[in-house]
Amino acid sequence: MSKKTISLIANLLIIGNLAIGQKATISGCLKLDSTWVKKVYISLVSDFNQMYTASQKLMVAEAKIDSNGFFKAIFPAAENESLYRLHIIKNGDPISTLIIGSREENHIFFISRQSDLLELTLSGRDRVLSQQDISGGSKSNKELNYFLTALKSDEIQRESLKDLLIDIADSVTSPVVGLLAMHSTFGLSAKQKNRINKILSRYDKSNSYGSRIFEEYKPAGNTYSVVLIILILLVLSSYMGIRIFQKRKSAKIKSLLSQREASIVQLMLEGKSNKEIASTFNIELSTVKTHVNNVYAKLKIGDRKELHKYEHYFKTK
Amino acid sequence: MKNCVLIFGLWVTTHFCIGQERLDKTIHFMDSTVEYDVSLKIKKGTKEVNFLVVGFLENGELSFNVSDPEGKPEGGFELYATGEDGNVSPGRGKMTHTVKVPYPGTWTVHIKASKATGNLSYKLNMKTQ
Repeated sequence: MSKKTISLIANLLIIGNLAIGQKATISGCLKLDSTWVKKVYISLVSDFNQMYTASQKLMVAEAKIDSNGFFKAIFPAAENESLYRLHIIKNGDPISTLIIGSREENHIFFISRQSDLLELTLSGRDRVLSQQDISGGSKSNKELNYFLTALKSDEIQRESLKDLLIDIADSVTSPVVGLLAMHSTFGLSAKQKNRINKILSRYDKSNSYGSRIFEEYKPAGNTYSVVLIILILLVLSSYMGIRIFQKRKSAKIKSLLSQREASIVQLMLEGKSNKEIASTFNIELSTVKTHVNNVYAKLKIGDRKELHKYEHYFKTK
Repeated sequence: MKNCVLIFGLWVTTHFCIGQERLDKTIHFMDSTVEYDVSLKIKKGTKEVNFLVVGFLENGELSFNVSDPEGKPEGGFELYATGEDGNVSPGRGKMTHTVKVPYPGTWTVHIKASKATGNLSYKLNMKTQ
């Protein structure tokens, strides 16, 4: 066998595996009476808000149901698990028909990922389709069935339901079911919201199913950081403002005095006597006294003690 | 026409608010774009509420959603009369829902239509005994 032939076979095998790998299959048996169209439709529900959206936009595959009730639908599937809906329609209805909440409820939900093989087995219930009839794939479908059954149950008190939804989110292994459980919560107390926050910390924030719930429960840390930064900026700007004010006042006070008077004030603040000041500047004692009196008049003070309240203006650089 | 639908919606709102125990209404849409809430007062002691809602859409988008006083979604559907390929294809949604011992207070029915041509019928039955 030539190298070219081997390479061609290898490529075909790879392409074949890829094609199978990017799809999943659901098969099963549905015993429908003559009022139903003998087809199943598969929709990809990429947003929890679309679970009850009837639209051809969402449909990714359809398959015929044979005379014995068997069908096999192959649909595109991603590496990570996604939520799908299988539905059937009655004769004369548009293909995007959803019947919600009666014995003729015409749809069920399931979770699938690449290469999954799912099965729909009739369990003999009095409904056309029952959520419990889905099996296969991963453990996710069992968790989804449990969640959807609990959500629809009339027997669970609403307060218990809130806690149950959080318990489900806390215990399931399927991220889609966990996020769906949290998405379905309503009217929660602060304590319950706190639980959701803790559960969400374990979830991959890039999971698009969680976009709403991640946004709703955005960590408060970011807000605290922003508040902290604003506070620091406020303190800094206040400090800078005080410094600028002091410098301006210092400059204003200094401008009242002559250069010689300012120099004498510096020495007075150091505790030097008039005699020592006269000696330092080599001037008459009477001249020093005149300068000191002028300083008192300009600063409107009576003695050296009062001069100390201006001390920091003369120390400010 | 859009205004007519809106006025009709408000008229329905009034009827809901006076606490009727039965309701049977049909809204017709003709290229209508409207969005409004209908309030439904559920008295304490109501044993059961039955909803039957049927929507048929020839064109545009239409949604119908019911939520209880705490905001818990109690069902609904959205219809889009446009396929993946952009071609117009009619959509039909039907919801039947029974709520046993409904949470008392003001329930909200949210109706939203965008360039919708079609109709929406809803029947409501409240059992108090």
